[in-house]
Amino acid sequence: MSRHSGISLFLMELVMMLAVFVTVAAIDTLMLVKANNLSRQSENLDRAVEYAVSAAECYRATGGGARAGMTDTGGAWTQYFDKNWQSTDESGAKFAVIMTDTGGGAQVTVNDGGESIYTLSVKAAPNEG
Amino acid sequence: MESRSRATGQLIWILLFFAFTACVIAALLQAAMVYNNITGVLNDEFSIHTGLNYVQSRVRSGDSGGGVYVGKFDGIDALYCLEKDSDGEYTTIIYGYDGSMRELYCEKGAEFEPDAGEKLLDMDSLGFEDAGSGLIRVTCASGGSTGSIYIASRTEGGGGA
Repeated sequence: MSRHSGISLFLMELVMMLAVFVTVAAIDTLMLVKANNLSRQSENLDRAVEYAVSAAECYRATGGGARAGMTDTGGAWTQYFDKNWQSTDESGAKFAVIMTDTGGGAQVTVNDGGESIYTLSVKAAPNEG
Repeated sequence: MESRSRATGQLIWILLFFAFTACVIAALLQAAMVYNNITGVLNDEFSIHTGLNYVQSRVRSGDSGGGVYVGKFDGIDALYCLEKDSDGEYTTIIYGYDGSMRELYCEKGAEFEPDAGEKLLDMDSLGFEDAGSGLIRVTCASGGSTGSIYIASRTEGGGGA
């Protein structure tokens, strides 16, 4: 009788300890998933800066964005990307790089699903020659 | 009868034990995968963007009198940054070789092998392309990711290798 209840108590204790461990592991996993999302956001921001800088540099050199692979839409240049930053058309786009002529300069905006994640202003400067 | 219900009670505890153990293993495996993914992405992005930013800052610092231009160094695409000193002309050559970004500082025209350069960053490949109109296209690849930027040189290069 006492041997059986001893085994039951031991199992109960073991299960309770595991329950605590599972709770902690679940919290830990949630934190890692959040870290993973932050790392993806950071990667997207890096890419956004990369394409915005390229567009701005092309504007400085040529006065437009065609050299950076952008499409002229009349006073603005656009380029669309899917979630893996592969060039795509507007319908399948997650990210959009939009460069707008501001008169003597341009503003480059990178949107993630309609929300701006990076903006850069560039002024056209004459070459030193 | 009493021993049967006791056995059932113990069986439930044992099943719970295995269920929780399976949950713990699943949670730990998932966490390990997520951690692995984060570190992989961070390492690749670090190499690519540090490399691109480094090249960009080198172009900015040496961009005068056509001192920055794209050329070939022993058949490899390379970026040349010329410097004039009272002693003579020196050049910094940046190129990708043997899985890393390398930099070689030497007298202009001196002959060196590609492995003479100092290793700066590990990356799969590094490419330079003269895109015309004073634009230099720099492409870095690491761990399956590729990054590329255009850099406008204020003074068009071509100072000669």
